[in-house]
Amino acid sequence: MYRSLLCLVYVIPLLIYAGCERPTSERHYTEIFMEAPSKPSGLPMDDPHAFMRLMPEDEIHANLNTTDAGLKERLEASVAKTPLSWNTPSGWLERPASGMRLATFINTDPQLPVETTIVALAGTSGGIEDNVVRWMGQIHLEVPDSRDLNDFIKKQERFLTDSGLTVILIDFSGRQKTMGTDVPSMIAAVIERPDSQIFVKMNGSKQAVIQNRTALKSLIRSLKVSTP
Amino acid sequence: MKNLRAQLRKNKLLKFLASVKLTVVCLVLLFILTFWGTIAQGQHGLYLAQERYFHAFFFLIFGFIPFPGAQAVLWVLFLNLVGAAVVRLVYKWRNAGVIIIHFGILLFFVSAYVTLHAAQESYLTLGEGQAANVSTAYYDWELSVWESAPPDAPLKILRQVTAFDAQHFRAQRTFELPSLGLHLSVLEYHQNANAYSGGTEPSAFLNASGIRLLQPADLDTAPEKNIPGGIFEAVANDGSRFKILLYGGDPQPTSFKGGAKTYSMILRLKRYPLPFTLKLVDFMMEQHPGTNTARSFKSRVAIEINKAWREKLISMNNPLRYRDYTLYQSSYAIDKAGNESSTLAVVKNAGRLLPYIATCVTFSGLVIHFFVMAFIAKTGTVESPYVDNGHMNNG
Repeated sequence: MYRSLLCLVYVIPLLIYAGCERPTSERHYTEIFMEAPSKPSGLPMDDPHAFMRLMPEDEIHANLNTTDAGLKERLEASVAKTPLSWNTPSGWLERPASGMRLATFINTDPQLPVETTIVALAGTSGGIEDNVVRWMGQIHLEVPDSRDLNDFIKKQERFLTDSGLTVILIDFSGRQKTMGTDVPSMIAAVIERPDSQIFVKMNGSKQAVIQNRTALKSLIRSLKVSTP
Repeated sequence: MKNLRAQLRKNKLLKFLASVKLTVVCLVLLFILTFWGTIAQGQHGLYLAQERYFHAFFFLIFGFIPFPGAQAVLWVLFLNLVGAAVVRLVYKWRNAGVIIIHFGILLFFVSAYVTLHAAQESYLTLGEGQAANVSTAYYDWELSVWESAPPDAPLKILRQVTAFDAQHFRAQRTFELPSLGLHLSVLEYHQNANAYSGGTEPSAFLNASGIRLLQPADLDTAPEKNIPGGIFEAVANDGSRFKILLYGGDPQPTSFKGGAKTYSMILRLKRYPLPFTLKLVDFMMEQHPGTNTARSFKSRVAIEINKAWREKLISMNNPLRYRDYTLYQSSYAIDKAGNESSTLAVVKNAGRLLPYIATCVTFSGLVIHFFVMAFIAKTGTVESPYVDNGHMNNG
């Protein structure tokens, strides 16, 4: 018994030393990152959302970068100056308004990034069918015939925001069931008002948009149009 | 030599370490830990179960009863085998097989140690035409600081980074960065946190993305879901102080100016420098006909070593090997604009050949022992290859 205890005198300090907290290690390294020549420079390499800024936005958005002053003026005039307010969902970060976007949000999951935008346009902006067809093209989905398209739109979820606005939520991930989880996908919400339409679009991989669907809905539910 | 071993046999510690009882206790503990750890994986996930039951030296049951972890048990078992080799193994030709088996098993321990401490698993994601010389860890985080400088080429970012492993961050921990002229301290650190922006009043902290508040969250069993956050204080050489809020999910580094220098700080997944620069030349994917499901995908990469580039094709069962590094084709992504990017799993293992060598050594020991025993069974009597406890007691 005494000998065993004596042996523990050797072993216990060793175990305590091994289990002790180590000092934080400091490392030095040279980090090199080279962007592809054909792409714009200055994108932060750590930004999982950076690639989204390289994508073409909606055609109407992209045209805002036109050098045609007259066209630019007309496009800018189409942006509805809707006094919208919202609550940023937990785990999302809000970016400042830019161009036609009233707001841009990114989530904070570097593995499954999504980007969400709010845009309000005057008039009907081509109607829901035209927008759905355009969005399908953006995520490389085959555009169905008009009967199938109407059937798809009819099946989409409709709900009211907390302030009573009617929303149709178009979830394109539902048409990508047989595809991989990494394919580009989108969930878009359309709020039709008498004088304008509000679009809330979430882009990302199929897995990412499915995972962020609840946060998107909470953002949409919180949308409120202030009365002047 | 015999006298030395006889003297060593009298050492009480060595005698204890070489005992069969200790071997049996260790094997029983390993059985319990393996069983327990396997069951715990279902509840806590693979990563936490590995950390608690296998990588730890000890852990607490019910929060207060200490129990040895697999690492402590394996260390004791290793010492037990070494002790047996020193004082108990009989070094005679007829025991050659057992001696080789013994050292083959010891080599397994060495390879396990090297793999545990030297193997790094990370990934590298590149778009076509992009190049980088660092890979990214899956779960570990680091605090990176560098002095901002204008790029030396239009499309090239080159940073001299000082990084601290965030694993053991806690409040009041301080770091000196004499090369940068900075003193950093951790005011608050959470291994999992939620970040909030918004509000109109001025923020008390610097943050590139407008994050104003961190709220600690429970640790998730899936380590990739834990996003850390912390508040740090940076003091520059000229005495200027900055309170900086950093969040792992925030991709933007926060910059601040101290004296004549501008610094950038970010909390991000740990980066591992590679001994080469890798460029994705082309990503190729074949799809099953009529579907968007990938049938095969491969990456043509260019690797720069000593300023010379050479090309290599990486596909599913055709990794790129360079020194201790192996790069496997892992996954891919195609964005809305059709830009392709490829993710390569990067594994660095200095001891990748050791388990194979240990297996060969042990197997050859078994074969030799089989033939020796067969020969001895015909010609003489079989003796134990070990000095038994009775002999050890008699010195």
